[in-house]
Amino acid sequence: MSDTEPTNKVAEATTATSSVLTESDAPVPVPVDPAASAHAPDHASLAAAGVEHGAHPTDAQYIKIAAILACITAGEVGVYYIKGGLGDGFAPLLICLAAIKFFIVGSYFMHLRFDNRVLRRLFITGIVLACVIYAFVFLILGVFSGTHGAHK
Amino acid sequence: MATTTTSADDEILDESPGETPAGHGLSPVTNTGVSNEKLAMWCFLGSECLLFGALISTYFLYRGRSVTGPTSHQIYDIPYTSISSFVLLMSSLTMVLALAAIQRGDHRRLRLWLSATALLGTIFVGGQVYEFTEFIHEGLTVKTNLFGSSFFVLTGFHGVHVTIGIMMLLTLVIMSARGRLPQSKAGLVEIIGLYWHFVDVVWIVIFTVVYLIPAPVVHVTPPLQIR
Repeated sequence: MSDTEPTNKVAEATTATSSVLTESDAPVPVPVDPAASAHAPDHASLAAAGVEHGAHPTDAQYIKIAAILACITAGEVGVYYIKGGLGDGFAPLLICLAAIKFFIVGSYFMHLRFDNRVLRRLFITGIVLACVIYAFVFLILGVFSGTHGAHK
Repeated sequence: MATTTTSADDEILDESPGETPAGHGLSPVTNTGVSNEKLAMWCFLGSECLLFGALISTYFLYRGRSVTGPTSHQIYDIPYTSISSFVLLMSSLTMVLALAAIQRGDHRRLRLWLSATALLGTIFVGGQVYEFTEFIHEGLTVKTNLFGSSFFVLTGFHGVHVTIGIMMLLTLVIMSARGRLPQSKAGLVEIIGLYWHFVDVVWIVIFTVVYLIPAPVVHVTPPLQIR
């Protein structure tokens, strides 16, 4: 079978794939050229690759999410002013609040929760790489051991 | 096989530029099920994590090690910066509402929300410029001490990113006003939205680690001056 000859099975799979992609990503369906899309992956392979398309939040839900983010920001500022009462837990608490905000914006506003898993992995890879690289830099420079900045 | 797939994709683009099977106004269906432009934007954002990671790490390395003032304790205005952070956070809301509007085909609201996002971004950048000016008046410049150098480079780079985002948003507003941003090109708004949200996410980190977590006071012995 040649690559340029679409079979009925491939054509059916392509139609199914196109409908999945258009459901969440584009409100206006555009007809697919069966000849040109003969090489598009089938639905099963896309599902195996992690294509996930859930319904995006509504406007009202976005506003609720933004209200939650605003409350967390207010909480951060509040924590800043009562830092004396929190002792050593002050910085970890602020970092946790920032991480929650980061997670909410990434998941809901950037749609990582609803989009293809490949995108999530790309972004997380970037973050993890950055954390690992800079953790090593800190180790090498003795930031964690307290020797950083000591002039010999 | 991959080469053949690419050529088939190219054929679709040649036949109907701007109109695609996925209805994004971006590239046609790909093996990953993600448009090439969106994938490229995510790769770019992944690399941006490394850039800002480097700048934030540099700030951490130099935190509390300035031998001359002014230091962060003396010049930060937390209530003012909190309001700026709130403004940028709300710009993410207006951005996502703009995307929802174009996905519904509501172009009037698209322009409204895009303009609101650009306005909020401009307020944030304006606030940053005012803050920088105040710091300079108080004697902190990029050359004053380690804190000044790392602070201005980190927040300055972020400000440049926000400014670029504002320009992209205004371009979208103009395109929409001229009727060159149909519903089928919602993907374009989405990838610029991704950039905008990323800028917001970076500020979430900067606001916490730079402004809210106070720098430890470290007494550093300056190296001997050789005359």
